[in-house]
Amino acid sequence: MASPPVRTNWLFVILLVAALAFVVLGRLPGWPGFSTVTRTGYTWAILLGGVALLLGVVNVLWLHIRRIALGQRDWGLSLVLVAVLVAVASSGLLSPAGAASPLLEWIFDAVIAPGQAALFALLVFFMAAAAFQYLRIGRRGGAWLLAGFLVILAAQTPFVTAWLPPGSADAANWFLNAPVMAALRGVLLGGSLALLVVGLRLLLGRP
Amino acid sequence: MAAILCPHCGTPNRTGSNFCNRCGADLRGESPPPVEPPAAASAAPGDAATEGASPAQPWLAPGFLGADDVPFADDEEELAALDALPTLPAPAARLVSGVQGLLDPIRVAAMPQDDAPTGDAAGAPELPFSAEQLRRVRALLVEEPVLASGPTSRPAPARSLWLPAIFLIFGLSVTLLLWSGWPLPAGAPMLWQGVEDAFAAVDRLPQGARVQLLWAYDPATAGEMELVTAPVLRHLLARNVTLDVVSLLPNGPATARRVFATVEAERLPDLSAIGVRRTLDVRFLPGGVTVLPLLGTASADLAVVFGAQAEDVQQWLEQVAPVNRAPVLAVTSAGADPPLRPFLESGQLVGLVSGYDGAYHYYELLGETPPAAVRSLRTQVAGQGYGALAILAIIVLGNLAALLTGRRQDG
Repeated sequence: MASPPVRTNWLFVILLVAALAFVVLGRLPGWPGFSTVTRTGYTWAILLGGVALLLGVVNVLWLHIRRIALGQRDWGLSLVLVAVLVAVASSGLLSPAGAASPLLEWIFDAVIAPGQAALFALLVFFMAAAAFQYLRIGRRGGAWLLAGFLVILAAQTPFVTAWLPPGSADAANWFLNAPVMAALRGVLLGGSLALLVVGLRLLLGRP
Repeated sequence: MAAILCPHCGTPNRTGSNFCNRCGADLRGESPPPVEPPAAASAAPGDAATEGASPAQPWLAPGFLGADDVPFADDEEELAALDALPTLPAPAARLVSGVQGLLDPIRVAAMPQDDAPTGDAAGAPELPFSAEQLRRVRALLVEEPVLASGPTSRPAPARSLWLPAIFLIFGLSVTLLLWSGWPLPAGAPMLWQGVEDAFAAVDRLPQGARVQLLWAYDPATAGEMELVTAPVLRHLLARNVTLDVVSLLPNGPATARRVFATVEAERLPDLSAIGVRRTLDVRFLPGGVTVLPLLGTASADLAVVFGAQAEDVQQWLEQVAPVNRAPVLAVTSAGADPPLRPFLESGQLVGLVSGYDGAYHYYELLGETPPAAVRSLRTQVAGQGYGALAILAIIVLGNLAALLTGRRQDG
């Protein structure tokens, strides 16, 4: 079956080129008019971001209220989520201090921050388990990976550095700064170019 | 055969399709448009596989396996019928159209006739799977996953090392060592390049200078970042500069206010004791990285990025620094240090303070180190060192145990 002809949405293309031109010319000296328009565009982006945030809250509320109403699986968790959302939002909305209300600050300091920090701290156990399972000599390329890992880790650990031969820490740092960084920047550059090309293809209707 | 036009992208799909073959839109509520069939395409009575079933209604056949088993329309008559369809009325009328998926449509439907290659299909590539296999894969993709209600036969677990035991033994050993009070080497915090430059950049600021602060870390990384942020913020407050604090994270302002309150209480304990509390104004800007260039429209004598990720600093260097030309100082986690070091060497960063080591040496340069902060930083540096040792030991143990297990298996 022949696929239908792909059409270019020229409205999007024109908008993209206009936005690109405004941003680029706004950065050049001697184009004050363009920078004014660009600044307005950025302000609109902030407004859009705020609206998107509100939409996200409404979407979450709608989804979970529906789950509760229909009694779907794990509706109890949805109930907890909605209750917490309402409690936190009202603690800020009802206080004259707004986002700086003492109750909201307490919720943040005593609940959110420790919770997020605890979750993040679990990462070290995942890393240890992954290192135990996968940094093995017998695996394909494992010896190289293991050697690189051990050298860099040893060179960055203060009291292990003292036991290493002189110059090894410098060698490890050179390794990080030269070949690793070159590869990393190559990956970043390649990723950016790929994103640009995919975006252009998408806009020009040639996926 | 009549086809269903996708209401989303306009692609003609075979009758009985549940989803669009191109964009995946739900077609279950769609019906084919009334199309006058060509005279040649009128089905003869003998064409039906069985009585009551016609090519257009294959689900009436007794052997029909499901709606997705309708074969693709790939013969000339069906192509002619598809060509006779009206051309895509709906998408052209919409404002948003022409945005297609990035991948070509994948042919997922089974074609039972593929099992027995015919003369017509000689040129087509043969699938290595049978129709039944394809049907099962398709069912797996289409249906929601469900838990098996009955007992399932599980393959015998492969021989593996008992990970919890190794973790337990190692944890107990470390605890015993620490508890015994042996003088363990803690190691001195390392002085990396960039800390002294950062100190000098802040110290050069005249009174009343305008400093932009981007608060770009969330509570997940606050354990490390607050210790790193504190000396730099303390230095900035001591210089009596005007701070313009911005965060792109919803919980950034609360984090900033908490650190500010702690630093102020340490710096001015007398005021804190009588209940005088200064607050920090922090702006939250929704919209993410897109709105960063807006910050470049304001001039500043220095920009400081407090970020746990290297990307936060990189985005500031790309979006804001070229616009307002303010020198940039990065205060980051130790993990973000290596990717940011080239920016320091190229001069795009005027200073880099990273990790507990950076914070420790910044306090030393500041010369007014609170004892609690020093204790905390030395503990963290030692803990980080022991953590690194623990990881090293776990890797060595893992390799050792794997070698031993391998020998036993060989024997």
